[in-house]
Amino acid sequence: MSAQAIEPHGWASTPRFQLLLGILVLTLVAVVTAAPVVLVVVGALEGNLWRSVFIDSTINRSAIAYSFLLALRAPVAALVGFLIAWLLIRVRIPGARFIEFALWVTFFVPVLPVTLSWILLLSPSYGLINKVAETLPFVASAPFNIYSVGGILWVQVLTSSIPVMVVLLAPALRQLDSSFEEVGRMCGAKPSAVFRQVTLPIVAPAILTGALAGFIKSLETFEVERLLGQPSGIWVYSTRIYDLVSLEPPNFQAAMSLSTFIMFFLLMIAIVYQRVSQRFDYATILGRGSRFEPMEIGRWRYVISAALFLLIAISLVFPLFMLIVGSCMKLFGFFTIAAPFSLVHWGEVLNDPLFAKALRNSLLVAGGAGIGGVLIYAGIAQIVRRSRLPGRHAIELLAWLPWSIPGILLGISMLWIILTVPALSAILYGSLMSLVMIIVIAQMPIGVHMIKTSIGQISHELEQASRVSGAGPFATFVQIVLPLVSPMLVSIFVIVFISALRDISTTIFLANGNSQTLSLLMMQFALSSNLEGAAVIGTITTSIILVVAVVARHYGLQVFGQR
Amino acid sequence: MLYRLTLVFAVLLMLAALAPRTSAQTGDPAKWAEIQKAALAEGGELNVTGPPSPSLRAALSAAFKARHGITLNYFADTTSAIVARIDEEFKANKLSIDAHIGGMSTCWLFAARGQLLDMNGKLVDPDILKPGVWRRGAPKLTELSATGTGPNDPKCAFQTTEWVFNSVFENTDVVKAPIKSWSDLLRPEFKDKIVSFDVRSSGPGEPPAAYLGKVMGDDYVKKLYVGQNVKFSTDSRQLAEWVARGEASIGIALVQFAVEQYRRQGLPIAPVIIDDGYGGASLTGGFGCIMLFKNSPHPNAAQVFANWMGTKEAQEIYEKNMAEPSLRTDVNTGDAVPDYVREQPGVKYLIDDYVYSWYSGERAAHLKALTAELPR
Repeated sequence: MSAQAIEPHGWASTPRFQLLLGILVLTLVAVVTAAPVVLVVVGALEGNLWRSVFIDSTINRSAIAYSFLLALRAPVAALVGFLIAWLLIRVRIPGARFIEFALWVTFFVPVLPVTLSWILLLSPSYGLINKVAETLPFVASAPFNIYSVGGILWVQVLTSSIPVMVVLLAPALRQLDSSFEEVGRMCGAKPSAVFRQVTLPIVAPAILTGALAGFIKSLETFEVERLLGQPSGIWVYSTRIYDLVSLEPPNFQAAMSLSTFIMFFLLMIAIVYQRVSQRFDYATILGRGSRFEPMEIGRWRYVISAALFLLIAISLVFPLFMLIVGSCMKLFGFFTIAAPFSLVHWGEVLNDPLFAKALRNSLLVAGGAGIGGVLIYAGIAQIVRRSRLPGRHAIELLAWLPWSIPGILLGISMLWIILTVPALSAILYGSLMSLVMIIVIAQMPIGVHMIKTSIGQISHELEQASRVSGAGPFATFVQIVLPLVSPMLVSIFVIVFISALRDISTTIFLANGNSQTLSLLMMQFALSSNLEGAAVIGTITTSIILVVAVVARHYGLQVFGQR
Repeated sequence: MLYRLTLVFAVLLMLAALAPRTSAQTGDPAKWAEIQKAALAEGGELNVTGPPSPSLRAALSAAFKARHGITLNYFADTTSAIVARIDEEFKANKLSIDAHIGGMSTCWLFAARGQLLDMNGKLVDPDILKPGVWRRGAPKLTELSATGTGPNDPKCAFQTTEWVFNSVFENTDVVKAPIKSWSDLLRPEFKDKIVSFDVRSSGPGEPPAAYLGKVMGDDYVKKLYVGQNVKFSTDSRQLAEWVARGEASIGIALVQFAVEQYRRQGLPIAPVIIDDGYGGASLTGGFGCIMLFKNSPHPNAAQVFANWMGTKEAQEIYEKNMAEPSLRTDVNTGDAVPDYVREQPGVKYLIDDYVYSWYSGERAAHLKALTAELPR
């Protein structure tokens, strides 16, 4: 089925209106996405540091190579994540709802304490698992080394890459009309054949988008690579950017030059993605409703369920336990000191006069970015996917741009723009609104492209029926499209909310003394070597995220008329 | 007559030359009262950037509000981010920050861009200018550049702390034979077992490397950092933990606020003081320098803050929370400051890391020689 544009009625259908609307949307998207990127390119050109950045620096060359090596986890995680999401949603598995929710939570647990927990287990000199392994007669030395490419991949895949794919792909599978699979089964195909020949091709756009998003974001991940890579001389693109902007004075021009490589690479794959994704175009939400009965796979369901519970135990239960325990320790991870447990760090954080204000600011920014972002992304996605507006393909490409530069460079670029434009400066500088705006821009790629994929799954007949019944384009969008893609909207809301709650790099330059957030407060504790205080804030943040995730999943769908 | 005038002039010149490098500041009760009044008239608010210490932020904000009725909005961040933000605000002529608490490398960076006020004449609170209050005889104002070190030459910061950056630590369970000289760090047993704050990044990695370059020569520094395959990190806590757990035998460029939390719990990490005739380390002011910005939104409140930071009350807060010894003679926070960072009587320290001529000349040359040998 190919994409069809919905013909607008009345004044909305005049070419002049369409042209004006197209120009307006294109201009707005271009300003917020391309302007920071243009500033980065200009900065890189002014610096003219290409030779020193790409040729003279052995670390930078090695960093780019390692980045791509480590980013290869994304397509693998997309397939594994899809398989897990399919098992949880389309197959009857004991505890599926709990496992899916646990995978959501896994993605939300702060990375720093999780990484430290894995160091405690797999450090070559004192890691608990290594120590146990060394007692075995056939093991001569520590078998595992967390400070390695394997160590980084292990932590990233378990705690981030696979869970996020389940979060992103589950809505696409939930929207899949069961009749496709039923037809396959009625023709005598086994569940595995239905999976390979029906389900997989139909949700291919979502997998492709998720894999691409994961690949690009994995180039930017930072904390794990810094903690585990630096000691063994493994630099990646993001840690090099951090090094360059941490200099006194920050070497932004070198960082910008380095980021142009990834920018160029991203643009290339975004163009390829656009071409390829047009070939996969299956509407999976039809007018007949999409209720389905999960497939039965006999006794295998217990085996699969046990394996997934084991995954949850490794990737969530242990890190969450360490996070909570770590926040109640005098020294994170030191169990052998005298009286190792104490609530003194909870007292420090809760009595900090900035805490209440930072909590309020975080909730306002995250809530504002979550709600505002979802509405804006859905509007852009609808235009890209369903309209015939001139420039819609350009908008689609532009929506990838915020991920083409690291968060910290996006932040400094927005600072330049806000300070340079007097009207923006007067309204936005130092305000919470500027933080909401930067988060909405920063998360635009995943928001627009995942919702666009979801809208693509809706059969045109549904929108056409609405239009035939007299509803205008806006009413059809609000009353038909949004409810049908609500599982994805909820997922995107939660992802944006959490990104806002955890973000440091993009908001750091726009916050001031009055607009500090919990994540910035956590950074202060971490930078002053008070990891336990940081763990307390991490625990509080995780608790907020848990509540939001539960509420969003249970009530968010009801708001849109789905369960 | 001409002879007498010449003689008087010569005597005055000699007195000026003999005067301490601390600038002459005079207390002025009337002016002090006037500035405090003007500060409140500015809206009773002040924006300060400083080191990312939540406890310091909270304590300074509460005490300053109680003392002067001015709300202190303390914004903590990494130094590089603060430098970038202030630079952009200056370019747009929209400065929001009034004062900064930090180190001299940052100060000279701001000063080179013409962003700082001259501190001469800014300290007027009679209480902080009483005789005997300061270890150096008067408040220490730090030179703007190598070209002007006289008392009336421009000064870019009010340095309130000074201490010995003894930054080498050992795991006492692992290191059996005592380390008595710098050459001992080259022992084969320490190959792959030494960690350091990355000397290629701004931060605490630089002063010890430059000190060793001066005292032991660049060849020694190369043998130590390259030959011993020193492992680098830019995370002070991670470095201290590696030594405390025995993953590394020796740590270089470890800072007291990270180390002391392990020492307090009885973990086997201890300072190594090398008797090389110069105290084994350079002097530094840490983060304890106060700078005031030009064209700031609350200039009078900023001046009140700078004066208040010289009081016993503020210095006790600072010393207790940052573990950096104050230059005031009457501040003693006991265990909050470890002994190894206090100046030892009778020791003539060779290097003051907060002297511009050293910082921009020899120090930079030693660091360049070392970093040229490391992957970049």
